[in-house]
Amino acid sequence: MPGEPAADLDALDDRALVEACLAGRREAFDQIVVRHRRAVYRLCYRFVGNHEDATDLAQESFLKAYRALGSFKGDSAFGTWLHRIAVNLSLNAVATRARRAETSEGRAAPVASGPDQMSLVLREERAAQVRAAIGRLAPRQRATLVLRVYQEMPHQEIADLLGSSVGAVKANFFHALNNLKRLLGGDPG
Amino acid sequence: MTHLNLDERLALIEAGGEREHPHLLLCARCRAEVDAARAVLADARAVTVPEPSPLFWDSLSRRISDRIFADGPDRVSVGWPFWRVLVPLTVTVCALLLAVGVDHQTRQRTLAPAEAGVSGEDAGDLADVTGTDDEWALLARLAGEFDFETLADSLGPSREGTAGSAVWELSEQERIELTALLRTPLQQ
Repeated sequence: MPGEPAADLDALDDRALVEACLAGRREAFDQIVVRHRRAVYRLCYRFVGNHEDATDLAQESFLKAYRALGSFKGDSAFGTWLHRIAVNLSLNAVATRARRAETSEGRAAPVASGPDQMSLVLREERAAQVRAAIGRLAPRQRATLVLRVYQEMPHQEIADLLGSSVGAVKANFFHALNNLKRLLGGDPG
Repeated sequence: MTHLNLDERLALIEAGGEREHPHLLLCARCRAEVDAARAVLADARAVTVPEPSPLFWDSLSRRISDRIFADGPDRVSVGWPFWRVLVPLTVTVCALLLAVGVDHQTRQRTLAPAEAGVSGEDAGDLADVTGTDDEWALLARLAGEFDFETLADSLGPSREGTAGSAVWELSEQERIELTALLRTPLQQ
């Protein structure tokens, strides 16, 4: 059945799976997808802020990776290489697609029925506001924030990925935090 | 008073309340800035990605697999994708240039200008050359009114990876460049 990896591939590491795939075992790529789909989806979601676009981007990331498997040299971990593809696609998507980020207004408000529920509702509400504010950051600032905060990438790695300097990455991160503060109403400036 | 630089501020912000700096005890401005950024960062860190339905992951795998299947099994790139075109094309161009060069030199040695029907003034005029010799006519036609169908046919059946197929895969701009490449030695 398409999409289900063969059992014997389970024991192989990513590099061996890539080699198996290049040798003609397409099901090896299904195993790669199973291993990385959650992380890639989550990374894409951080950029676009909604399930539909994140799904499309995750799918495109894997397709692009599949088509470019031959160019994977193994200089970095396969996951890093794959994430790089996802980040680049997400950056392009952010720049070109209409924003459809979820907002607190666009979702059904959870119903509070006690102190714990109320706290949960407030946390959810705040999270939705922050998510929407991140979606309004300039693409480079958003990318830097996502990679630094959620992917916990070192500044140098972010700089390599975005094709900029470490200084620019730090400045972008700092500006991203300041703009986030302003968008969340913490600073009228 | 010297305020904190960007590196120092970022280090303090990312460390949260676990790290302090003597300057923050003295400077209310930096203190407020760092505290506010720490709060925003904490808010950002608290945002989680909503977990999709458990059925979603298999559905995503199937979508990817279906797309790959639809694309066909040969879509995995094993390096620069144009090598199949470029290698035979380079061989073709080199062979043609070599043929042109050798033939041109041979004719210069063996034929007087009068015999060839080419005067010194109009030696570069291909119209005159084509009127005198069948081989030159072929070369001139290739370089002038470049007929790629004829060229591709002359290179044999158009199998993948052959020079013939390479010619067919050229874009209009690439054909123009190939024509120019072939013209240069003819006009020398």
